[in-house]
Amino acid sequence: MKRLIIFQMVLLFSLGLMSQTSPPVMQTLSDTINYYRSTSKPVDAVNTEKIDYAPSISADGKTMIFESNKSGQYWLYESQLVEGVWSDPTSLTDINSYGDATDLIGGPSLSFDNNTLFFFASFREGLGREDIYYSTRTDEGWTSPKNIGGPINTTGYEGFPSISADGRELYFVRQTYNPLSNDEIADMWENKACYSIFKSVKQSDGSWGEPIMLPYPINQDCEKAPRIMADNKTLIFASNRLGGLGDYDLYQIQLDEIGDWGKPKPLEFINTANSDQFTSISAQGDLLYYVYDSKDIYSVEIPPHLQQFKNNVIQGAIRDGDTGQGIEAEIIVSDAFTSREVMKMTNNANNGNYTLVLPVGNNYNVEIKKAGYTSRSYFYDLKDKDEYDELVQNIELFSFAKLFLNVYDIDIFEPIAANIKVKEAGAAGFIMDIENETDGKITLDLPLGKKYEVYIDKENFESEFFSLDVTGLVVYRDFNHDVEMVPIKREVSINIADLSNNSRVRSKVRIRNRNRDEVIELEGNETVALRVGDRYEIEATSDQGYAFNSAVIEVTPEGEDILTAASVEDLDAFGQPGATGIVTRGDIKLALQPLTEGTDLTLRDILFESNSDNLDAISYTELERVITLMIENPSLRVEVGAHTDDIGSSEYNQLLSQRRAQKVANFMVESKISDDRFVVTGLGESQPAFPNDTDENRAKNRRVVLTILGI
Amino acid sequence: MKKYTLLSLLIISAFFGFSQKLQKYEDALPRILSLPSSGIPASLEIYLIDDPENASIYFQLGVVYYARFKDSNILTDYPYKFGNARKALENMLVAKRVVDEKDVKKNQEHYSNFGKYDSKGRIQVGYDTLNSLINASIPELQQFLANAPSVYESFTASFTHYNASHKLYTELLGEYTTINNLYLLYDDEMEQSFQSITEEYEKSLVAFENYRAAIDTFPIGYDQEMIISDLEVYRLDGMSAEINFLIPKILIWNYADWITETRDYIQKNIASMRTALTEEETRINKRLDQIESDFIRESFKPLKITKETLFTLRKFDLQSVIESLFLFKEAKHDMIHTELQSKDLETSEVEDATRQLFLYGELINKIKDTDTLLLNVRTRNNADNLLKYPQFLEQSYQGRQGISRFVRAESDELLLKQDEYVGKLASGVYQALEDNVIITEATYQKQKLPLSITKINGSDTVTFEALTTHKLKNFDGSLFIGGVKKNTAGQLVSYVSGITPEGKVGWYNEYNLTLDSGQVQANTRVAGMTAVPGGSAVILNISQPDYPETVNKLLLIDEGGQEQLNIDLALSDYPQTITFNDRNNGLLLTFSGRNFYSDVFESGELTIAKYNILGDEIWQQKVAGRIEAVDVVTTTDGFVIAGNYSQYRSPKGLMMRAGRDDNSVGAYILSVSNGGEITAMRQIDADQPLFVSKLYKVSEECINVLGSQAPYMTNAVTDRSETAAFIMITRDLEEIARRM
Repeated sequence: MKRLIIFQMVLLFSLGLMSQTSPPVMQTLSDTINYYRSTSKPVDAVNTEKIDYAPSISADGKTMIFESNKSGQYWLYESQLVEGVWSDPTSLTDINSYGDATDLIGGPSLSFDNNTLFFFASFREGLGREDIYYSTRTDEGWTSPKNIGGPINTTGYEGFPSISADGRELYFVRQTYNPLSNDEIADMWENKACYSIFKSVKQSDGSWGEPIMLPYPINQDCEKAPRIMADNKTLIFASNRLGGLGDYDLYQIQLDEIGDWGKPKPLEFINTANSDQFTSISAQGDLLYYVYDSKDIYSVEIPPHLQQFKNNVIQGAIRDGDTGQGIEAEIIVSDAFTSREVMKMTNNANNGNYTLVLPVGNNYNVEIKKAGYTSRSYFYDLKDKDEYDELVQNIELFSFAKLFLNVYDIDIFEPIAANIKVKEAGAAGFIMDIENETDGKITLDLPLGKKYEVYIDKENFESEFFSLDVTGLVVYRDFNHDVEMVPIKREVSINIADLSNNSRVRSKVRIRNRNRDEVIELEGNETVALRVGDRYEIEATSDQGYAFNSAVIEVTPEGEDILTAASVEDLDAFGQPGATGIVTRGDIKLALQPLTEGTDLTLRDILFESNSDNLDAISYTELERVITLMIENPSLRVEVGAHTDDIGSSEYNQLLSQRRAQKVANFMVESKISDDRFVVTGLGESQPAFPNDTDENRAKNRRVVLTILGI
Repeated sequence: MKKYTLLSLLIISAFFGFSQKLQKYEDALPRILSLPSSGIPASLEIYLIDDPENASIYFQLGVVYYARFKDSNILTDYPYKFGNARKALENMLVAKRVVDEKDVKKNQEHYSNFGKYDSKGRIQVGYDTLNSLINASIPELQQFLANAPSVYESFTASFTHYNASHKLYTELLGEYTTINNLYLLYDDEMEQSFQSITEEYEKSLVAFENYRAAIDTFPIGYDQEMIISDLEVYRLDGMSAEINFLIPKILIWNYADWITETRDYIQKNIASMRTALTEEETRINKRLDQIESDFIRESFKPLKITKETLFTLRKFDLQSVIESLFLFKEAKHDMIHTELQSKDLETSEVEDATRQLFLYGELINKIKDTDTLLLNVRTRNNADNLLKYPQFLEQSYQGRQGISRFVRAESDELLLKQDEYVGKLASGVYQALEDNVIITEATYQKQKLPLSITKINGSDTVTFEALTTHKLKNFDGSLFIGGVKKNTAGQLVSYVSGITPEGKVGWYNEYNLTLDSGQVQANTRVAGMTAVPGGSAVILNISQPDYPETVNKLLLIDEGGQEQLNIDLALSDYPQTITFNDRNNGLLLTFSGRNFYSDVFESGELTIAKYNILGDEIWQQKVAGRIEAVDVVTTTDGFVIAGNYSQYRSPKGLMMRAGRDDNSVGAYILSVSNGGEITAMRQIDADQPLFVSKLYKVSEECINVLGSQAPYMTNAVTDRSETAAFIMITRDLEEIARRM
């Protein structure tokens, strides 16, 4: 006691010395401490007549869990800070009802992400009298308590856990039976339990390591109620050491950069002659909750010079982006200067919630990973930050890759409806076998974590194949892939010859694809690659005194004859095949009729409605050729002669053919062909080209012929 | 300063003086050294206060800090390692000065952690052991303190720059979902990103080279090398979330090369495409401006978008507004050409009404096609497109608002054109349907045969006078007519007659048929007539009220009045239409109910049956409900049928109702293939009551449905009044235009 009095005198003397020399500083410090001491007040919303004890605050400062014996037993309670007001505490029934009526449950420590609650209890299943347990938050409440086991728990007493922000270190107390260093304190503490502070570090395999007792100057005589702050470097604990104001006082100590604990600083703005212990500070770091006189929870504002290292809190939920359900993922925080892993944790599996507490003054990479899901990474630049901040970062991960296919014809960039098959690499069967839409598009949902082979087939196109490997890291799940389908083509030799002597004719050839928007123009005799399976109309014209000629072909695969229209069953309606169009294997030979007087040019595909002179729309293609011929050969004069079959009276057919020939002539007039360049003749059924004995032959006999009158 | 020192000493001495009974140093040392490393210096320093000359304390502090230095990682624990190295050096330098052989010999217990117990259990510490540790550690620490900063700084710089490069790249790809989008949206801002990515990447490589050089001269136990991969798959490669520079083979992506290749590609391909687009726009506009002057056949050519330009554009962007604009203008050019053709024919000396109607039909279709393309322009006129083609769209159209104005103006013009030409088409169709009868009747054996049609709604209206109910007009002016009259027994008898162009009766056939093999006198009606090659096909219905049996008889009558075919059909419902298709020489008949005149409320299921020219049934289809057919036209694929209904079951099995009650009537159109498959069937939407009465085909793409926008009337004739409904459809039943 004597020593204590002398010490106090020296202390007062020292302070007096300082105040004489630098009063403003001293007054300011004193005033500061007094001011902050004055902010201490009970948290009325949670305190009762009974003992309310050991508060633990979540990182965001909005959840408090504490122990209380208000129901007659020491149980855990939870309160929420809503619009600045603590709610009525609710019993953590899932935990409180776990043991029996005599069990003590206390010393809660809520993990910084709010998802895990550590506490101690005297459940019968424990290894010792009181053991440390933990429970995790679910949508329905808290899971049944689990004993944290050895080497933390022993047959002795373990209690008052404090979990670090990264979840890797657990501080707690064990009862100690060592003699106290000071006789006076030993006298005062006689018959009172004494505790020492221990720390256990989580191993790489997830188990807790052998606890070590924290050294002097932390453990000295009787220490308890450790709270490791969000920076993982600041520890606040209660101690009965000499120099205090009485009973337990609170001290703050920090681990310096080189790994040494500094000197404990008494929290003068809190400490009183009564017991002061059990602190808890949210990551914001400016408000401290503690227990005064071992029975009520108080809050007090922390003087700036004592505020722990500043932190930023990043919190949100990790959800399945498609279902919206919370998912459990691995959160890895690494130092963005060295790539050293700083923290690894998992979030709440039920609601996906997570909270990261990152000290300012550094840069961080945060990676979110889950097997079978996309990954995300975030970069937090906190190097130059010097104040607390809360950031909300909700994260969506996806278990499916979205493969947007766009299938199109590489030649003409028209979309293609194709067959698409997907299989896993190396697998025998296909997992998808579908057709895309005519706009060429389709979206495939492919579960991540696999390698896929995608096959695209379309008749008369080269098959396409590509693989998509989503076994590794996938950040963006949307993949666009353009599938360029290459049409299978066949080399077709176009030969334009004089009908009379088979000599080559200088000509223009226009090849129009009847299946798609494709027109090819050639100068006479050339070889051209045409699409297999497509139908082409080949039109040859020449300004060298020849009539035009045309043929419709269907391009068949190599090795087969190219089909002319007449060979295709459903082309009957297009009329007779080119009489002068000769098709050989892979060759198209179009013979042009020299424009000589008296020559007949039978027009193709000039169709009229039944018993009528109304031209079918299809006829205009051939009529346009006639107009071109007339324009290119301005001296050409022709007779337009129309023929019928033999059904009906010859008089009737004569009249019908006359009117049909006139219709053709009308079009020539409409097309500015002078009417002195043609004459119109109805020939009725008088000049059949074929016997009128079948429907096919009758159709062939219904025709329009240009007869050259002069050139 | 002195005051503070004094104060500190006072506080420390007071604190320790009154708080603890210190164990002797040599006794406490084993315990202190067994403490966690974080607690040893503080415990040792307590003794330094009482015994500042204790050489062992400096040595032990040096050993503790040196051990921490040795156990830590230069790259991951740099501040810790560096700080401990400094502290270790400080203490080792003091130890070098104060720890001597004499002290060691005298205070063996002070160095017990470096000693061995002899046979007598006494600790034996060799000075040389301590001295060599001191001597070895000092240069090591000095070297470390001299070299570590450059190693650490170059390492962290390399990682930090690569990390920044990766971050920027990831952000870039997050913004551009496809590589084509990235190509098209390349701008100064993106170029800035490109440069930043490249700079960061290259700085990383330079810093890594510096790091390598530093660790070559000052080995630190790391020997990393960079494994650089090229980026190939957009949005898959280059995305590594976990970047680890602490492993022997550091996997990094070559962002700089990717940037270079991407930039080169953009400059080569996208820039040339933009130039081509501008040139194409100029060419298109010029062609549109001069279309009327080009409309001289010798010089007129259709406007076609340059394939290469179009293909290149589509290669990069299948949703481009420029493509829509080009295609719209191409279609507009074609549409105007058809309009010019139509106008030219209107003023031509050649009168060809069918060609004129054909051109109207073509034009209206093209107006619709052009309007559809204009809609694409409207849809694609979005911010995304403006970002992709800012210069083009600003210069050519004054941006999005300019395009909107353009679309509005073009749309208004198309609407006016459509109104104009649908009006002309409707007018032409009505004119073609006009029955301009000059000679009103023909006489056969003193019997007057009307040459115009009368629709009869009941037997009461039929007298002994002939009523012509059907008429076929041949292009030479001759007619086939069919009708009905009463005989003296009160039964209805039918006639079919050929009328010459001069209005004379060429031939006359009368049909007074019986049922049940002549046992039952019956009414005979002409139910339908159609022209066939060389004559006409006639369908007769023979029935008697209150008698269950009904017979339908198919006649083929040549132009001389001779029956070429006379057969009974198996179907007994009342025939509503008969149509000949010369493409396959077939007859299509429709049947519904038993009522001889058109009345949807009296109708039953609709039967559609096809026969060959010999009267053999080829197929039949049924549509359940209360539904009638009023007209049929042929197409290349089959037939289009129009009619009215109160309700019917669609080919998909849905019950379609015209309205909430059974008295509602609606109109439908239906297409049936030559093979008998109903390929499409749909209701004609209308806000007001609507029924149809006639089909008129101009072409495959211009089939006109004529009706009335009025309450349903039985046996209605073609309405040409204000209530007339005129709907233009295609053979696929697509509605192209309407006029109501």
